Amino acid sequence: MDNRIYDRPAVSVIIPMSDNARNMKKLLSVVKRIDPHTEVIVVCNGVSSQEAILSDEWGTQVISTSLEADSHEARAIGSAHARGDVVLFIDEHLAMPLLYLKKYVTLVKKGSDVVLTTYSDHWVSKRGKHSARSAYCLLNYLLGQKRMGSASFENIPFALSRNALEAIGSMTLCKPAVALVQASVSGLKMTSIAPFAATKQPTGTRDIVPKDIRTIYWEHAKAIQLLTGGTKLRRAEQDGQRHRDLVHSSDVLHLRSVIHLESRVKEGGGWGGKRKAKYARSHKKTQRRAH
Amino acid sequence: MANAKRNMRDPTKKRREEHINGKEKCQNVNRLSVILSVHYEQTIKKVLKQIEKLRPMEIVLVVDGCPDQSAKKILTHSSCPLTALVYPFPLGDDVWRAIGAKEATGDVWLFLDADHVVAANDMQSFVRSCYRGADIALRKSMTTLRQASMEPDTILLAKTFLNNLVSRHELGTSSMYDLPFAMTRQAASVIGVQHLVVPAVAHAIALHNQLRVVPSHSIASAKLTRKRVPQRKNKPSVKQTILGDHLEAMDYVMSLK
Repeated sequence: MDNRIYDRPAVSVIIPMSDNARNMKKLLSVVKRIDPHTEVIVVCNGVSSQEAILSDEWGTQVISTSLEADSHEARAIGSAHARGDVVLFIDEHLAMPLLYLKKYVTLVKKGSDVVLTTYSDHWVSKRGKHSARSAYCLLNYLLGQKRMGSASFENIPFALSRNALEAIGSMTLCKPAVALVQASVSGLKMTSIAPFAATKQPTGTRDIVPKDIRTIYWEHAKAIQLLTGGTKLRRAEQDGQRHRDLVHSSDVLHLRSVIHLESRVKEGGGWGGKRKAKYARSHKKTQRRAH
Repeated sequence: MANAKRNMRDPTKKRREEHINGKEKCQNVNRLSVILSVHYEQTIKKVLKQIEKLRPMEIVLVVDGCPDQSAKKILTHSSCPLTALVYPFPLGDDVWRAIGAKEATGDVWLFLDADHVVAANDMQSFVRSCYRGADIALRKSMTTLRQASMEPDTILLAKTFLNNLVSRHELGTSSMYDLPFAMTRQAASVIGVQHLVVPAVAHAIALHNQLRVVPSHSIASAKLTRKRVPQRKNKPSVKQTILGDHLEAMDYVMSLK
């Protein structure tokens, strides 16, 4: 209960959690050590049976959502309740040393508004495997944030300053791609961190289903559309100086000269050249007759 | 009629060339149209020489905004039926594809870049996969985005993004942008010839209509770059255009669902 005393906690940590999370206690003990004044907000899908333990033993704020909420929605809901100067978003499956989490917080304290993690494909490094990396990269490139690489709000953890949270809007966080566009457009200072290299993928069943990659691409395409405002009106220089009318309508004068050449057979030379020449000559004759 | 006669002439030639077998050449004579544009005259002779090895039914040349001598050069050179469409003004990027395609009469169309010399064998492998049932045979992508050390190119990203957006991630960075590629006439009629102007949109339409788009053959990029003439491709505006095309294609895909 101690952290409720402070009017504004330094750090808010938001954790979407499923009912049967196992390493919750371990995670909470790590999170609590990030800063002496840490506020922890746990967002549960449905009513959690562990709510009492969470709030009494650990002093966390527990928020229940509807069962269908995915982890992004859960984070968005949690962020609306966050009061800290730094808001850190993590995942119940997170297995990261304390120091690493502290890095996010210190970066925000040093003046960054948005600290994102770049995409890691440690486990999907095989070629041809479906990966969302190109979506993240392309969006960053289009935003003119080339140095952000494959960083995205889709990757956990990420941290926001209070400023950034207000600029982006907590509900926009439901759509990570849109949130990124919003962050970039509002001119927030963004930093990226390489992901923590976990030696193995956390085993055990994942309760929060990883997002379908198709949806990720879909959302990114939507965000790009939002950014460009549709490309229906392209100026000539952006369109490669194309004369599209020549192709699209049939009654336009092309002002071209058309030259048609019939086949011409080389005579002589090489193996069997004579016979070929002979054949060609007879071929020409038949053509003439035909005319 | 004329086709049949040319067919008869074929058997004498097939023995000399081993790489492209006679049966394929026979098919080429009846079915293949080669479509290419000419911007620079340096390489055109070499390219035409390679095309002649295929014995296509016809060659459709789109010449735009190019000095007159090059047109003359071409016309004295060919030994296949050739149609040259000479425009006195530049048409703009990739417009030649649609204009050439409108004139093509074959079943299978091979699109070529006259600035790059591609060996006849390589050309044939695209055409071959079209004969064997593919609708569009693209160049296999050589570069992978996976290499973390390499800074991925924005255009490569855009190409991958588009393929992923229509759930065809196995195509990688292959796109109808990369010449050469081959397509069948049916595929073109599904896509709509006029859409070939914007290759990214054509690509998106093809994938959306479940055409059999296959990455069939890879040409080592070294082979292509060695012969590359310093040219317009390096201009940043072309990159902008390609990126814009992909955004247009994205719009198309999004408007469907």
